[in-house]
Amino acid sequence: MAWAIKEQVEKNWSEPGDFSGLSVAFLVKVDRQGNVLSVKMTRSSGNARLDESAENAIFKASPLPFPGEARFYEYLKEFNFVFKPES
Amino acid sequence: MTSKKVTSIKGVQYAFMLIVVVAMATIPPGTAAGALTIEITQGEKSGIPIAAVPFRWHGTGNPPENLRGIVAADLHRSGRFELLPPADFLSRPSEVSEVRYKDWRLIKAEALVVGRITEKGPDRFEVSFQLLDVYRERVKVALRYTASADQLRQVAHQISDRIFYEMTGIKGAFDTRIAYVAMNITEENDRVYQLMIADSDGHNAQQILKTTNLPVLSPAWSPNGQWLAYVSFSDNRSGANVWLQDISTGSRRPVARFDGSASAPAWSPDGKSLALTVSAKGNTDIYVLGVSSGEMRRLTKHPAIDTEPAWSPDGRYLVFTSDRNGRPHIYRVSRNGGKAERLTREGKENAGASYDPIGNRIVLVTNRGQGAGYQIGVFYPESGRTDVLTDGTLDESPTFSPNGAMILYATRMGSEGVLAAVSADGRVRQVLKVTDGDVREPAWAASR
Amino acid sequence: MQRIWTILMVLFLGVTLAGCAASKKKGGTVEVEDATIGGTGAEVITDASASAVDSDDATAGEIITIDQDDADMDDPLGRRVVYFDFDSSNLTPEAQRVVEAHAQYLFNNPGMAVVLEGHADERGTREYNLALGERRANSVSEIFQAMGVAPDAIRTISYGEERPISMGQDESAWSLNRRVEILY
Repeated sequence: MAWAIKEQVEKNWSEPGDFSGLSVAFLVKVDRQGNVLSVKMTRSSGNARLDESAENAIFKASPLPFPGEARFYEYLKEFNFVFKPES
Repeated sequence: MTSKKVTSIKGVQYAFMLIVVVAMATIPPGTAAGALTIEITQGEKSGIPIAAVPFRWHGTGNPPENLRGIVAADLHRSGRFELLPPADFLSRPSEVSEVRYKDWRLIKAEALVVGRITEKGPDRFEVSFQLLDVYRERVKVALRYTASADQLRQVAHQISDRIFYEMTGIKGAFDTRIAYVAMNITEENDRVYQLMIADSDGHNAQQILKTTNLPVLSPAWSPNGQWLAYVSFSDNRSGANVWLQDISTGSRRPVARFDGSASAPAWSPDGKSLALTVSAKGNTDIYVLGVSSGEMRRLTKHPAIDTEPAWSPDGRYLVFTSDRNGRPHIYRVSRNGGKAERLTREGKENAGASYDPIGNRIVLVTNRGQGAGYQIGVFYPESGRTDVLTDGTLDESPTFSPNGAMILYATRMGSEGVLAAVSADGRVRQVLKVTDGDVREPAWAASR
Repeated sequence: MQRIWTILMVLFLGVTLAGCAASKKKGGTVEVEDATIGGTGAEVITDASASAVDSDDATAGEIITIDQDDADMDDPLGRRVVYFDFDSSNLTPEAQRVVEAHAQYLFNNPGMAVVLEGHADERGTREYNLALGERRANSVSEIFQAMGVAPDAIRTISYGEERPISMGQDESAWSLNRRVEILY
């Protein structure tokens, strides 16, 4: 599941340029269907274009691929996403 | 969680639980403790999805120019954007007050371009445009221009430049000019050469020189965009010479008189010197000429062919083509002369090199051997690596855009020469619509 | 009778082709235009017309008396073009023979001026080919000088890949374009 989520976000992330060496972190809250409810930037990369493109990727990836079983929701209702572009 | 609980979960789910455990053990700074951390290292290289709505026309008859079309073509050609098809648009707003951001999130646009053209008087138009951030629901740029009909293409390129900068952080280079040579063979079998200047997309072409049966090649812009240096022949008895032409007045002169021939002009970044190739008594070497002083300084002295000089952006070095080790390869020499250092070792031959505006990359014509022909490559002097960007068999004359994001070059379509643009990462290639016959030798000006 | 007609046809074609080749060498003209917006039309500032350079059709009239099979192929003086290998300015033994015959002729006829026009095929960059054409012309010039032709009588010009004889894009076309023309 984590891999599926990672893949889905990567697929929706259009890197606006080469920002290797920088990283930006988000705390993301989702509902039981995987819909992104809120995205909070917990650490900026210092580059607004990278920060915004990463945030866009999370929104565009919504709803995230979620396991059908309700009991996993406890582990998945909140994530950290760290975007760390490699060249 | 207990170990009993973990073992009760099977297969993929077990793997997932492990990731959760690992993630919780190594929490990166700036992330919330207790939550799963997913690291994203690779994005899609397909470009930023952007929606450009056809500009709304307020006037009589048809709009004088398709501004949306020009902007979309510019952005697409750069390779940095994915233009979403207008057929998918749920609405056609022309300014921010008409925008329902949700419509654009549904088609996964990250940015939205809206605008209008208003007829204000005879041959007077007002263009307004806005670049909108779809997810943060805000205006990134709003601009207004007043222009005559024949200035509208330039307005569109300026809009493209602004969007390119806002989205990538790199200065746009659409509102710039290029030079190239067109050749046509007449019914009388004469070869007519035209030196042309056009917008960066090949439109608005203007002839600045026409010769019959006297070849024209290697145009080079002065850094201030006022002069073109090029190679031509004054008659059928003299060898090639380098000419200087003032593009606003049309006046031209040979840069100097040589005992032999001169070619391959390259302006120094300060515009004060021209590096060029002089062939005298069968030996071809590189010289530096003071443009106003007329003073000549010899840079290389080797019995082999040394040609195609190009300056590094800081003016300290020149790269050039030499066959001193058999096949043509790229060498580098200090602007003060001295020993030349070989740069390219990969491939069968490399030629026609020039630097990007920063000085990190060198674009060149490369032949990888095994009958592969000639393609455009980007060579990284630091690592010695070459990325081949094109797949023609006779691609040549590569020239970086002034922002280093694109490369213009000459290629063949059938037997006809055409100009093509490739994004510096090689992902997007597009032939420019130039219809002047057999077209070659593009040179991208540093400014408009 | 049939044979005579064939020969006449061949000769006619030969003269026609030579005429085409010669027409390419017409004097050049130059026009310069003002590139500012709203600039006026062409202004001819230079008429650099040079007289047509003699082409290799001078002997066409004489061939009639010679048997077709050995017509000017055996006479190196009848050949005004020598060909080169790819990216090479070395003369083949065949080319050497032709160049030496012309050198001999020019040595015996002092006062004649000769132009050596170097050319290249389209492969490789235009500027490199300009230098390559120069080097080819020079390798002919060196033999001329070694055989006593006055350096002042020799002029070398390179057109690089700009004046191909054959417009094709294969080896048969390229091999015709890698050449030096000996013009006097």
